[in-house]
Amino acid sequence: MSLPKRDLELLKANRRVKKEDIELAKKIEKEDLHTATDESLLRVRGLIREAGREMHNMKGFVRFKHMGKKLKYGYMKPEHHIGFMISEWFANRFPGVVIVLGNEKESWVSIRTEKGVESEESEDIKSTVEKLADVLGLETEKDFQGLWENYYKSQYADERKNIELFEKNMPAKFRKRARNITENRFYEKTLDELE
Amino acid sequence: MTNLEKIARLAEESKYDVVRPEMDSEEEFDLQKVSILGEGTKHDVCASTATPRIVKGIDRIGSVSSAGICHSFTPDGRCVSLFKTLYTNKCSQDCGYCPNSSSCGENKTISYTPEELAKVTLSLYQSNYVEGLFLSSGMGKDEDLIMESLIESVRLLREDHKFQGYIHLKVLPGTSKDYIKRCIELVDRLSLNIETCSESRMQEVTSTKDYRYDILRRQRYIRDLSEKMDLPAGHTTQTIVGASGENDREIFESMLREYRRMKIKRMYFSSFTPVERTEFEDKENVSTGREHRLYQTDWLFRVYGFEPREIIAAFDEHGFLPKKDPKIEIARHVLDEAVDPNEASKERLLRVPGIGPKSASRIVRARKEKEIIKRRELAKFGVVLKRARPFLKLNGWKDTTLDRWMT
Ligand code: SF4
Repeated sequence: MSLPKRDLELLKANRRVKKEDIELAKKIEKEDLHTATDESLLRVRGLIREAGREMHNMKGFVRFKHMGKKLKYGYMKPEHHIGFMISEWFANRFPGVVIVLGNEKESWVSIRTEKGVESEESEDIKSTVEKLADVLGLETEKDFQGLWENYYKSQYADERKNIELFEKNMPAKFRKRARNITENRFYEKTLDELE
Repeated sequence: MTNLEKIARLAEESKYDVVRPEMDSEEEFDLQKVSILGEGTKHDVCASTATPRIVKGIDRIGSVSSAGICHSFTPDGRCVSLFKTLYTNKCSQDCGYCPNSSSCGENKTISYTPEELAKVTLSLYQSNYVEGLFLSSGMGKDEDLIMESLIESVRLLREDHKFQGYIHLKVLPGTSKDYIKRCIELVDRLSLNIETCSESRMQEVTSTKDYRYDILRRQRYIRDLSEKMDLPAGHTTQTIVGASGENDREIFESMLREYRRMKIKRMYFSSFTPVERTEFEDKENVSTGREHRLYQTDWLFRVYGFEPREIIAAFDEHGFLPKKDPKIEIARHVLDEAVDPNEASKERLLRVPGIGPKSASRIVRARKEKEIIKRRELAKFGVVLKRARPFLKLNGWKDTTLDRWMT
């Protein structure tokens, strides 16, 4: 028995992981982490959680633009090394479509077909999308931000305003890493109205 | 050929997008309709998208998550994870709190068609704004016709567009058993809102809905059918807190009936907010704190496994919950002496404020290996010491009785 594969992957993906954390993780079971009081085990638990939290948030907060039916791309600048974990997760969600996630420096490209998932690391997102669009002969870009903005605003209940809770659930760092334009804009406006 | 070209080639060769609709451009949507019908559901609080359904094959759009995913939050702190909308705002009922009620006079009727609704859902879903659809509706002139449209909308998504994302569908009061059966075949979760806690309370908010016939009987249909068929995320209900003059104890008792008799998965509470032009526009707004305390009793019953007779200790003589965590009030009644974390059963540990199911399990497991000596160790198991301290003894030492009562 050892830690589940997923936990080990998340641990390795954490930017702050050290060799000794991985060594330790290979020797323990999931239960040991639950009952940990020892500092080194608590550290491992914390690192797994931290990368897991980012992974979970990115799955929800990343937004896609579309080129034809074959290509989706979205901005993502994760703190931890979870790029492929996310792009492959989306590739499984949308079979047959090329998924590109990334930022000014790097991007992760994945596709799921009948043969399985193929992935590739690439340069900045803009050039990657341009290259793929070129090969696929795609030109028009579509996004549904206006549709989302209308819907998103309709869900806000002013009588329940709770800025603290919003910040806790959707912290600025994640809004920045997934570039959540609508949420930021509406949040700023709500704050202004407060003053 | 570069690896990127290889990936592009795979996309070209893949036939698994042939069923996808070419997505409309944004300009083709009626954004006002999206806003108005979206706003009609903002007091429906269930935002869960967790479902154990297994998605197979690759000839599909979408998937689900067993833990659920939140896609956004509004500045009220609530999760926005589904495209939650009414199908139509037309309604023949006269609920006093609702802006779509027939008692509000003539509203401009706004409705989707199943095709339109499917397109908005798919556009938001494929852009990763939502995890799926939550479809509710006013009852129109004829609830059967509206229910048919709701079913057709989800059928179109599931069957024609091969949409495998999450779907939560509201069953309209009075819906037939056959329609409910069809709904179960198509969705992850069904719900039917009881809105009030009893027949007499319902009569205070509407003269057109029959609590037993339109609501309870339909809930029994859902319960019985979902025992035989697969309704992956179960069925739920919601009640409005404070719209009919009820106290918390009445709500708590209706919650127990819902869990025990109707076998619901979750009960949701939505505190009453007066809406202009409705019959109840002059009623007082109910604080979200009241709603929160009811959720705490729900949690104690459902997750902590408290007996209702223990929880009842938290209500005051007027049937209301105090303005603090009900678990503290309950602990004062049920814990006759301080709890020793090295000896107490898991059930007893759970009755200590500041100790939850996870920390109780950690304590039980850890003490098998080594006696717990310091408070600091408890904090590492996740115990909230500030709250737990007055109820605990460690090494024979306990905090003062005064502390315990002053928490
Ligand atoms: S049934 Fe009642 S709450 Fe529902 S839309 Fe009609 S009037 Fe509103």
